[in-house]
Amino acid sequence: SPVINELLLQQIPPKITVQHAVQKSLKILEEKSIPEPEESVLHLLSHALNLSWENGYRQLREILSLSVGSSTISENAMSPIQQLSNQCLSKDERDAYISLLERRMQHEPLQYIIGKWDFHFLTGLKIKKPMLCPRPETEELVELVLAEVGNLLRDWKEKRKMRILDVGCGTGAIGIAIANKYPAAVQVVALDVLPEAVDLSNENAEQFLSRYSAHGDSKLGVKSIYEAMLCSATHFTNNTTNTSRDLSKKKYKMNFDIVVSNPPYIPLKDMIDLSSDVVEYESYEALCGGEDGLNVIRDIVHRLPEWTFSSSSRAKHCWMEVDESHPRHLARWLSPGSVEARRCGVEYVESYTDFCGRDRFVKLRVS
Amino acid sequence: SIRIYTQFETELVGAKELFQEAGDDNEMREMARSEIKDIDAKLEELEERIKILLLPKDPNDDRNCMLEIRAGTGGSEANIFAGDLLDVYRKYMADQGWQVAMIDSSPGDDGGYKNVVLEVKGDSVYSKLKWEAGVHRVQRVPATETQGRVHTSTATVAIMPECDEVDIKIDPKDIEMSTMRSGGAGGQNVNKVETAVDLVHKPTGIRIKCTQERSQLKNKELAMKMLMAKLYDIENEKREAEERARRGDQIGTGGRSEKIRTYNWKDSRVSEHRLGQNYPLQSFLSGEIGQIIDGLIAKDQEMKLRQLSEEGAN
Repeated sequence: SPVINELLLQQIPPKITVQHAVQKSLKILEEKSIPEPEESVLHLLSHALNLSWENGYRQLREILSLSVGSSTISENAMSPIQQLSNQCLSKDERDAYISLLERRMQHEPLQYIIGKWDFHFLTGLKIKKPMLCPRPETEELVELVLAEVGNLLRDWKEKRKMRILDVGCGTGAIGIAIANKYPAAVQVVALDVLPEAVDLSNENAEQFLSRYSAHGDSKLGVKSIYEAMLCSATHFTNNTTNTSRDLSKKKYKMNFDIVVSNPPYIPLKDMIDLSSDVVEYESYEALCGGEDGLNVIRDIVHRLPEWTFSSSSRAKHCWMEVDESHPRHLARWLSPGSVEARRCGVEYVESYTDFCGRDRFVKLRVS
Repeated sequence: SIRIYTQFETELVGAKELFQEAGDDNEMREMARSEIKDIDAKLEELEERIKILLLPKDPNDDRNCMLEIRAGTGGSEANIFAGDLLDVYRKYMADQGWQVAMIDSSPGDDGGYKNVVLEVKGDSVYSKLKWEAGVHRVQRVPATETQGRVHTSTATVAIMPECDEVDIKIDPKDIEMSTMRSGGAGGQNVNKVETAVDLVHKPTGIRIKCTQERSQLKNKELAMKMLMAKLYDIENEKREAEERARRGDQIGTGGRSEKIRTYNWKDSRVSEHRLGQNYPLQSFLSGEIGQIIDGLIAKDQEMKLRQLSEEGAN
């Protein structure tokens, strides 16, 4: 908007110092009630100045708390922080920063503006709209699955790699974070209904996992660790009479050992409470799970027995991140021994809370 | 070193033999004599070095560490002084080629820090930085002082060697953790990048805040690392205090309330109390603290050698 642009051009004049840029832009964002104004300023300016990914925003955070003229006490040479604080923005840096601020003032998520973020131990995971920006809760989902992978590996007798299915992969965060820890032991297959998500997941897999692939052609190698495919949960099946799909389609290999998903789970009625940075930028399909939020979860439950079918008697688990209202619904629906549980071939095992004490994760077992 | 020592010993025997055989040949005798003197000197030097190498080492010397600066008495001026110390350490660490990351900080309202924690990684980090632990005192006219009076303020430096679960076991039940997401909705409903972690160790009341990482998981791990370092430090402190009491000791690496240094602006000097020596303030402020640290290490070795020989004599 030209009004915002005018305001920024005026408040952030040419040759402004880093310290003043930080202080002025923070004030502007606060006055416009932009969420997380301090984080916004620190990360966006660090990006505009092309500072180090690890340290840039931390240095700017220190500069934010430096009082003006604090270098007067020590007469010796300025510390690197003080030098950065007094540095003047070049024309390009100022232009870049102003356009980044303009986007943030429209409530665009920081991860989209910068194009990457950290998740779990993946540094600089590429993130593009409309795929969901990975949340911190989902790191806990990864940790839960990794604990199971670790346990299974202790008694692993199969000659093949452990196979993991990630349903609704988005940026690829979950599957890639898992593969990143056990690249030699697991093979991840990831599904999404958006072609952009499939492409982005494979791109991220290439970035983080090609270092582990043994083959000269890294693309071939990465596929043995991680591959994303365009497919919905329901259509990921070899049973062609259930779908209207092409009969010539080749069969999928189905013997997955673990299924993980962060499916769209927000109930319809809660969609209206979402803040604009979520609802205006992130994919609706990745968020809303229908009336009760369980639509995609039901699709997954119905396919679980086929996905995990194998001759082994080992228990196969499905781990999902869900809405707080879901664990008790699922506990009732798939109560062990109940008619429904037997019909679906899937039982509810237990739920886990996230670090805020919310019922956030469920574990199901294919019976 | 032992190998070189035995080599020299052999050479000495050879030189002494030469001396005997030289008989009346003065030139030969002179050559042999100066060679003997030369080798004797080298042997002595090596002996000293070997003795030092054989001294009991601090088991933490090779570890990385966390450095914490806490403003003491003096209000805003103490905070600013804490910030000045931070600048000095930063320069020293850059010179040493160490990796530095700020883990936690509480900035002062008028500048500087109430509290700041750094993680320092590199060669011989703990063995050098441990000498900075203690109370640092500054005497100068504060920036906030309107009538030109000199104030005395303090800052406490704590150096905590890095440790892991082998050194310190923490029961997860003893920990209470909270995050920014604790209130309101969470999960897919909210997209916030702030992942600060606040944890309290209930048995000791130690509170750690970690805001430095983008990943919440990493903030949690870092906070736990800091907690372990603090608990390990408390244990070390207890053990060292017992040892100091046993030895009736002099130079220690800490005793957190030991006043180790006074910085006087008017006289432009740094007084290192453990060595009883003064150093120019400007070099200190430029980050050249290596001289002081070397002096402390040397003195510590001297003391240990003396103790060793006293114990040997008994």
